[in-house]
Amino acid sequence: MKSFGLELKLLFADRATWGLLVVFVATLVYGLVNGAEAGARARDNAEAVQRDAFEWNRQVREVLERQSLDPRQVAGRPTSALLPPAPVPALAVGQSDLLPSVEQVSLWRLEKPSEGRAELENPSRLMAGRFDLAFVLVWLFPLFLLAAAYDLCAGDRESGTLRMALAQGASPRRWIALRALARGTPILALAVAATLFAGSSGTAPDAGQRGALAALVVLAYGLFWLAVAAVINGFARSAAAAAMAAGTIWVVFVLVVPTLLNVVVESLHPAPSRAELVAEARAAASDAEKRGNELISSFYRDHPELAPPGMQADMMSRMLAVQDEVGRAMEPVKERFDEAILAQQQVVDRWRFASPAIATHEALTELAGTGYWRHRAFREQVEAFKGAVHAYYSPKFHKRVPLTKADLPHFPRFEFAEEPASVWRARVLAGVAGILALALACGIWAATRLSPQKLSA
Amino acid sequence: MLEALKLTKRFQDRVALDALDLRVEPGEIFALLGPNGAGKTTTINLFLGFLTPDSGEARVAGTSVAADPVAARRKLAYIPEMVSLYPRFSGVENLDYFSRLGGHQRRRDELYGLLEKAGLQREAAERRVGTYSKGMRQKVGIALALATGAKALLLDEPTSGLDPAASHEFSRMLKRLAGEGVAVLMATHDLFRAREDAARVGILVGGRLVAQYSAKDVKDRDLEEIYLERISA
Amino acid sequence: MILTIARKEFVDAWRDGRFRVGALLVLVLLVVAGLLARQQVERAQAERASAAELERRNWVEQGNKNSHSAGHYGVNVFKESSPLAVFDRGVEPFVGTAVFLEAHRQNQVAFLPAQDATAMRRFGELSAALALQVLVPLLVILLAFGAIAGERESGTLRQVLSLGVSPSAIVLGKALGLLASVAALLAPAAAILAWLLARAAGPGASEVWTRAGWLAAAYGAYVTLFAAISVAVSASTRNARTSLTILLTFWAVNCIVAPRLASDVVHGSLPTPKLAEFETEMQKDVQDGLDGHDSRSKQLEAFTRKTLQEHGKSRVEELPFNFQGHVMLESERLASVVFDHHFGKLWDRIQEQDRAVALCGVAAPMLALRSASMAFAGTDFAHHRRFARAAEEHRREFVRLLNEDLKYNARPGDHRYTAGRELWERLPVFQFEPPPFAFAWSEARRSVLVLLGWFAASILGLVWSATRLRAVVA
Repeated sequence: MKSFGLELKLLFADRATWGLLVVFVATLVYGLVNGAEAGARARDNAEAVQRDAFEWNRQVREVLERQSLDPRQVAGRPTSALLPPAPVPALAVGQSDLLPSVEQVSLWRLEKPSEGRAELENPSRLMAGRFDLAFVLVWLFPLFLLAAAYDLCAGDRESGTLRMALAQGASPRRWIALRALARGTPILALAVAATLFAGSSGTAPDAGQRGALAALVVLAYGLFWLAVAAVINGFARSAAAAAMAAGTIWVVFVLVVPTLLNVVVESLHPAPSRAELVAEARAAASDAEKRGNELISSFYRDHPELAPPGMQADMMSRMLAVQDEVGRAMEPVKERFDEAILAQQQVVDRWRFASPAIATHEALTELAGTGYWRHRAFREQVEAFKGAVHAYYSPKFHKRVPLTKADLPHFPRFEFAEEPASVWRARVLAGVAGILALALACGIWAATRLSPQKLSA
Repeated sequence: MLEALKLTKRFQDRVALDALDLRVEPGEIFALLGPNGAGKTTTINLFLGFLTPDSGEARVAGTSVAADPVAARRKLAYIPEMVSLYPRFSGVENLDYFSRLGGHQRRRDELYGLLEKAGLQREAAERRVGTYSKGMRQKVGIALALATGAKALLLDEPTSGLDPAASHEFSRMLKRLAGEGVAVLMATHDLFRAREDAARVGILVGGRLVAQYSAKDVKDRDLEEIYLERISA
Repeated sequence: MILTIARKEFVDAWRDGRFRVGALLVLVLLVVAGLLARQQVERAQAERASAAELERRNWVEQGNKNSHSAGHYGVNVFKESSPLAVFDRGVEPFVGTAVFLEAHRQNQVAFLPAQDATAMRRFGELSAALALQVLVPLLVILLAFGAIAGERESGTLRQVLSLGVSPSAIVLGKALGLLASVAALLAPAAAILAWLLARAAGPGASEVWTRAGWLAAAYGAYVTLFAAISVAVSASTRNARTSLTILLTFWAVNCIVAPRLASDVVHGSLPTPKLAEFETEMQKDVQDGLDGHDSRSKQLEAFTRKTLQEHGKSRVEELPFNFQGHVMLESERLASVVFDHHFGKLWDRIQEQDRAVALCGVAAPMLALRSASMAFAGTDFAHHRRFARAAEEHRREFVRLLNEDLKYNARPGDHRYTAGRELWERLPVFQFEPPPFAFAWSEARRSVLVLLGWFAASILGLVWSATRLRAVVA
């Protein structure tokens, strides 16, 4: 441990270290600020949606206090299904700038393909991605770590001091491991601190827990890169060669492997065409439209209890029957879509350890609440909610039962239920375990390379 | 051929070379002795134009180095302690490249001839130089001097680290070059080689040329004794 | 002399196993990216073509109905990829692919392909453009960082200079040899991309070569400036390690940090409006009029009065045409003024942002290159805006024809009027003609200028580094 302190002292004696740390802190702070801003914006949007919903409810209640209401007046107005702001938005903007967090559900539009967008974002900003904490941690943090620790012994090997140290009987494994840790510690500590801070800034009750897990992810990811630095030093014969190898490995893991995985994913499970989906939905609709009268009479034959007095369907009931038919026709098409995207994500989950950068990115967005699975849960719940809206209003519609004050508490309302902690925690911990395993594998490899015999050769 | 006229170089406030006056005639081998930091390499760098003198002048075959370093270098060949070569090229490819850079394009068989003349067999010359010993590298350096037809040769500790046989072979080559009229300035710590090969020997101490001896002067006396005496004076 | 040095550098590079591996990797990525993109673009085009055909059928076979109801029924039109999306997909995954054209509303182009993909796509989509923007510069750096600093360390620089080679010949020869090595690596990729382009069909195919030529020039300048900067830095640093550190930092800032930093900073000072506010305000202005005090109902009332006056009638039923259709035409006209205002402002803002980011290219050349590349490839926002604009114009024409049919063919006051297939078939099919090269050029010229500035500065830097080249660094 004495040499650990010595290494730290040596590290801080170098002005370049301070420069590196200052720049790293600046990027962390900027990332945090950016993420926090995105979070604040999401909160504003959510509050506006909630205010609207509240205002509408108040109006409905007021009217119902006085009189009953035609269900059409209530069901026709869209209800906003809202995905609440992410639990730890400062951690990662993730997909939240791309996927909509509000969906308008109304009885009339249940089968319209949702075409929502998250925001009026400049597409090139979506393309570039945000400078958020996750960006700093996944992309830049390894660069800073490697800058601090790429030359653990390669330079000594080049200058010959390594042979001298080995001749003194120093154990290179212990010495290099200590040196890697000492060089990495300040950067690691800052990254972990920033992550914990992001966690503490979250508003959700479990934000602290999410932040702590994120810190664990970051720590594992950092250890992986330090182990990579150790492996590099087992091979490199000069500092420049070590730097070159470090840069190349970074590019492979952080840039090349993820883009290749994307290619694999999209070739294995290409998303069906939205264009065709839209056109098919319309074809189904116009087909159903033409059979409108037939549809409504067969509907009343099947559901005599819903038939209005005199079996006389009005235009709206007919439209509803048409819509139900479209829904039935489109079910398999929509399912194909859903399955393709799910299959894509499953491939990503399976192959995320091809690069710890992917595993880390997935884990951080998951913990932030801006990743795939939370949004998928939202979409599934929206689908279920559409079902609830249909189930509640449709019979009242057909029978033209007026809504009264007593019905008010039974109006379908959308309340997003977060995934149980055990589910996302299991995914994240699997990610951490995987990254640590990779770090360990690199560490063992480095240990076999860092023997006195191989180093002095 | 090689002339230094009151050549002076300072680094910050330290005088590296103090008004050096020196002439090396065609066909003459001049050995420059002196302890580390005496100014030997500085002298060579000044002749090469890698440093600019604070005062005085270095001339190569009448051309002032400061005024036209490129023209001066064209008349020179330079062999450092460790001849640096491109590891991914063979000996002959290295020679080809360097002699082209020196403005002399030669046919392959000519180059092989020059390398052989310098003591490097064809089979070795075809190998990549990554595996070359120091002596083999020196031979490429000599072949290069032959290829560019240099009028003057600057050597910086050419024999340090060579085994005695390689050192002997190198000195044989050197004498042959001098015999062809090349002026040779050799900075060295090798007192044995200096006494054996040099027509004149100069001792540099603290940037000043404190003594010069002809081969005849040192023939009968112990050069080591003279050297130690001079540098401690 | 310069050629001798360049040739030696070229041979030396290709004898370096690490360069060969890196070059092979980059080459494979480029080719794979090109082929995959071709496949994707072709598939998307086929899908959109069949969807467009189906939509036309839906439209034509919608049955008899009031022509204004047909306006509500509407039609979807689909965006076609630019042929050069094979090379640079630009923002295409992040802008919509279909827009619903209907009466009364100007809709956003919807369905972003990126929404139907995993977060992996946010790491950057593999494309030939990305490989050239990010990976090739890295390869150049790894090849060049030691070009002179390494020779200084190993001592060959002293020897080369001792032979009387002029420093500028060394520096220029190195840069040239380096470029030749990279060009040799890129040549097969370029040939394959050219072959892919030659097979391109569809709108915009005629100007593909002009655009491709400019793309080649822009990327050529970019790679060259990286080579020049690398050699200049290598010439000015004491050892290879320092040279590599400086160059890798420059690379990371340029390729990794700058794109995100620039777009975030620009967005901070030139924000886009919030989606909800944008829509609410537009709806409000449609109702209340742009100036806020002349509401639509008031304007339409005045319009009715004026119409009656012009025709000297006292009741709308007495007018010689269907008044409902007449009012619809006017109300579309009024609304379109509001749409133009709001969408114009939004799109102007986005383009302002894009231009500001491209201008940040002064600090990081990749930003300028990326913007020029997307403009030449026809995959930037400006090109997308042209599509959205054309779709909107089509909508207006289409709604106008329907409303005019109502106005002139429905009897006054007839609420049961229907039109049929004959009218639906008369409505034009949407055809988007991509803007000419001159449009791309006007979008790209600022970025090209910035790139040119970098190019010139890098060459000057290279020459300057030659004047300071020393064998011995005191």
